[in-house]
Formats: sequence, C-alpha cells, structure tokens
Amino acid sequence: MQLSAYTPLDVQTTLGVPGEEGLIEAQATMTIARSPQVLYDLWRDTSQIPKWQERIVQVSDLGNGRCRWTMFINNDKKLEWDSQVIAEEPSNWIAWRTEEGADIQTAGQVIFEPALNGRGTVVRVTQQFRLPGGKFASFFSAPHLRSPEAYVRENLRHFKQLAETGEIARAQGQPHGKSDMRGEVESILLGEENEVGERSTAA
Amino acid sequence: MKAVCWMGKNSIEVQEVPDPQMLNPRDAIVKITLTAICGSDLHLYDGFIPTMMAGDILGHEFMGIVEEVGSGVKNLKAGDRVVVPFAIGCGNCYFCSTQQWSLCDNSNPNAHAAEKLYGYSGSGLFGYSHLYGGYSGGQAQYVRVPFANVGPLKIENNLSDDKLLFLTDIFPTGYMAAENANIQPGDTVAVWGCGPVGQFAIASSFLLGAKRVIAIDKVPERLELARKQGAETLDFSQIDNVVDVLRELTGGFGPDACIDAVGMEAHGPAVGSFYDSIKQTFRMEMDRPTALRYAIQALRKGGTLSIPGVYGGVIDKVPFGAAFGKGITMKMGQTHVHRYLRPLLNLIEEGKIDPSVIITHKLPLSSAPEAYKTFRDKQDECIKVVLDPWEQVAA
Repeated sequence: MQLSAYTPLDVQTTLGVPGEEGLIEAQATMTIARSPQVLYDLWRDTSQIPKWQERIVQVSDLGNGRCRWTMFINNDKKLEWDSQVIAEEPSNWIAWRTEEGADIQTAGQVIFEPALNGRGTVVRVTQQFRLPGGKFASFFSAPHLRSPEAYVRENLRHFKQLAETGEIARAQGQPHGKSDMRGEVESILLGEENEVGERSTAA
Repeated sequence: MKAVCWMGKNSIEVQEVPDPQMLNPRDAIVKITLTAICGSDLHLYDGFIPTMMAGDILGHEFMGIVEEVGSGVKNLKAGDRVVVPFAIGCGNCYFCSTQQWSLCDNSNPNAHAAEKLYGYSGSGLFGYSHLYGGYSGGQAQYVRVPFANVGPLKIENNLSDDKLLFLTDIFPTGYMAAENANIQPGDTVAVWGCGPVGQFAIASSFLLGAKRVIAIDKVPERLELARKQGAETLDFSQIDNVVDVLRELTGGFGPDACIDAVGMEAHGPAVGSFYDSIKQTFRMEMDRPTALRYAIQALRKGGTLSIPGVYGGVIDKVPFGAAFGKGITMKMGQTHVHRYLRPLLNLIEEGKIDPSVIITHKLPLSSAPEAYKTFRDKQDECIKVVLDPWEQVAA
C-alpha cells in the first residue's frame, strides 16, 4: 500500500471519516535535514520516544509492532495504553493506532519523503483522536495543556530538533528573579510547562 | 549570583538568583566578565515587547570565561575566553548551515508562539522575552550558553574586554546593516540614528566603500561622535524637511542607500508621529516607524534601504507607494552574528577599528536600574553603558 498525502487512507489506519462528530484530525509537516532512512529509524526507536514526545515517560516494545506507553499527566495521574503498528514501509511510512478499548483512541501516519529541494526529508504526520470524554479528553481540554493539533506539531518539532541537533531546545530550569502571578500564568498559557518526559542529561 | 531582572515596565532590579545549570549536552556555563545594555533592551524596559515576565534576566551582549562544558562541546574547555553571539544557532538546520544564524529553526523552545505572530519563528535570543525562547540573559555573573560548540568565539589575544564585547551584537549589527545596504564605491549613505548601532553602521559604511556618510540624529554628543568617524551630520530637530536637505546634499539624487538604525521607538517630528504616539499609548500600534518613513522618502530611485532597527509588530502609514514608485530594495532582520565574528575580530586585532570609543559609562552591575534610565533618557551624555558583573560599588 503506497501511502502519500494524496491517497485516501485505508480504513484500518484511521478512527473514522474526517468531519465525523467527536473526531479530531491533526496534521503537521516539517522538512528535516536528515535522510528518510535516518528519520524512520529514529521514529521507530522506542527508547528515544520519551526524549521527543511530550509527557511520555516510557515506551516498552512488546514485539510485533506492539508497544506499551506511559504518559505523565500530573503527580496524581498517569495514563497507560497499548499501540500497534498497522503497516509500515521502512524509510517510507508508518501507520499505527491504539488498541481497541484503550483509554486513548488515536491513529496516525507518518510519511518520510525526500525533499525535492534537496534540503533533507519532508516529514508529514497525520493523527486522529477520538475524544468522547474520559481521561484523555480532560488532558486535552485543560487550558494550559496542548490542543491535539499543537501536541502533534510540537512533538514533530521536538523530533526535528533531536534529529538535527541531538537535543531538544529548552529554557525551563534556568535561573530567574522573583516571579509574580501574572508571569506564572502567562508562562503556563505559553505552554512552557509542557516538557518532554526524559531529559538528555548533560556531561 | 547577581542578575539584572525585569520586574515590569520601567522596573529593573538586581536580584540574587541561583547560578545557571547545564541542561543539555551542548551547553556551556560562562562566567561573565563584561556585559552591556543594548538599545533594543530599552524596548523591553519600556514594555513594548510582549511575553516578558517578572524575574526574567535581561542582557544579550556579554563575554567571559568558560566555566564548564557539556559532553557535546568538544571545541571549548574551562578557562577559554569567549565572546558569545546574542542569537542562538544550532549549527545543523537549513538556516544555520546557510549562514542565516538568527533564523535558526531549532533554538526557540517557544517557536509556536513566534509562529502565531510571524508565520515562522526565528532563533532564540538571550534575555529577550519568552517569545524568543525565554532564555536567561547575560546581564549577570554567569550564563548558560546553549549550542556552545557553535556560537561562542574563542579569543586568543590580549585585548581588553571593552574592545571585544561589541562583537556579540552591535558591531556585527552595524556591519551587516552596511552590507545589506549594497554600498558601491563612491556611494553616499544616509544613516538614521547615531546610537551605538548607527555609529558602527557609519564606520562599516566607510569600510565597505562609501564615499560619504550623512548621519541624522538630534543628540549633540551622538552627532559629535558621528563626525569624529567622518560622517557629515544633520540635526533633525533643526531641519524642516530632511528629505529636501538630503536632496541638496546629494546633487539632486538622494542618498544611494539609507540605513534605519532607529527602529520601533523613533522620536521626532513627522507626519503621523503624534498619531503614532497616541496609538502606542493605547497599545493600538506597537511600533513607531518615524525614521523608516523618512528613509523611504529620502532614498534615491533604485536605492537600497537597510533596516537593522528592531521592529516587533505592525506599523501604520508607511509610504509604500513611494517605495514601489522608486523601485527600492529593502533588506532587514536580526543580525547573523556568527557570520561576522572572525572577519570583524580581524579588523579589531589589526587596529582598523576600536569599538570601545562608543563607551561612555562603565558601571557595576548593581547600578543597572539607574543605568537603564540614564541610557533611555540619554542623560549625562550617555551613548553606551557597559556593566561589570564583579565590581563592587564603592562604599
């Protein structure tokens, strides 16, 4: 199955028809200065995922394309779910979805295309979320947390940073003088407390 | 450590804050030996740049000694003396690899916010609001430098800090402004703004082959410094119409190139400037493009307008018809400092330019609150303030 941005997606790899009630589609595209091969390998490396996907604390490889995910919401709340790679072509594309009955209902595809202008690889991510309510919906609905669209886009941005520079840009954790309520609220609204789960450690 | 903190509009405090820590493998910690207040810091001081938060450490012009480096930094070690570009470049993205360092894709953790405003985000900057990354700045005793294997320039001469500090921002900014002006041998260049960037733009214009530089300002000591550099000067507070005077001075052509080294907080009489002030007061307009309007009007047909002056938002009543009708070229943007570090260091080492001549005030870091006011109000003949993070105020 040849997946491209212009090909209708196989029903197995989606949650439903675009425009359907309760279905959210998010999409992000970035050009990354690495080869499709390198990027495919990095995306499929479960040990690296906590570095570039926000709030993902751990991804365990269960074999046969199945993974168990752990996501940190706050000190009282964690989410866990299993996902399955539905189909993939190395260095080309990957399609995945969460397993039936999981707390998270999401399906997505990532496509790695050599950039026509010679600047690396065009990486296109499309992800669907079903948010009828429940734990995941409340995660996305809190005003200080990312919308699904922002979540997909920022994770791709982190992936690009990791692939190109080896690390994720951060300013959290730096010194500052006495803050005030207004600044703290603004920082939250800016999304600054959304961190990637595992920090690459210095020295 | 001590650090200069933004605490609100027109409110600066020097506070005791934690020392910076290494956060990423390509970080370095630098002990700062000299730092400065930039004209663009005044936009933060005056509350014109959004996303500043109380406690933010200011400062993007700094140099010092490397304290420690992360595992990803192989070209620097503790004890190295460095100057650090104010814009943070990763060195790996399309923009860094094409020498457009201040447009780096990967150094702004808050890129999504800048994208909302501008469509795409440029690089993170030290000490310049959360829109540009929220990085703690260098008006402090120590600073964390990301991508330290890319930005900092190692200094191996014995020149004093005050001769080298301006490699971090304003000397490359003036130089890139002159380069962007597409100066041909024999050209006449008009420079609006005789602050530090304008002064370097004047010097750089001559270095790049300008025959004449006409510098425009109203502050006497700034005009005097411009004249010392070989510029002819115009005091716009004494002139009815700068455009006509420039026409006369250039034999009816107009200047071949104009440099707007003023930016968004321009003063001065102009059609619309009173209107701008009102709108700015009510935050309906962020930027006051007075110098820009004059520069467009004065520029000769087919000339180049180079804009190092900072703009942040949207501007009103810009004579775009004049720009189109005269077929002008505009070049602008944040300085790609990394590009200019070595060539400009060579000029300093060869004695061809002494950047320290613009320094009028050297103060301890603890004097920063008063220094911001002095610099902003141009009191005490202030042109450039440098701050020593380690000097104790005399008892």
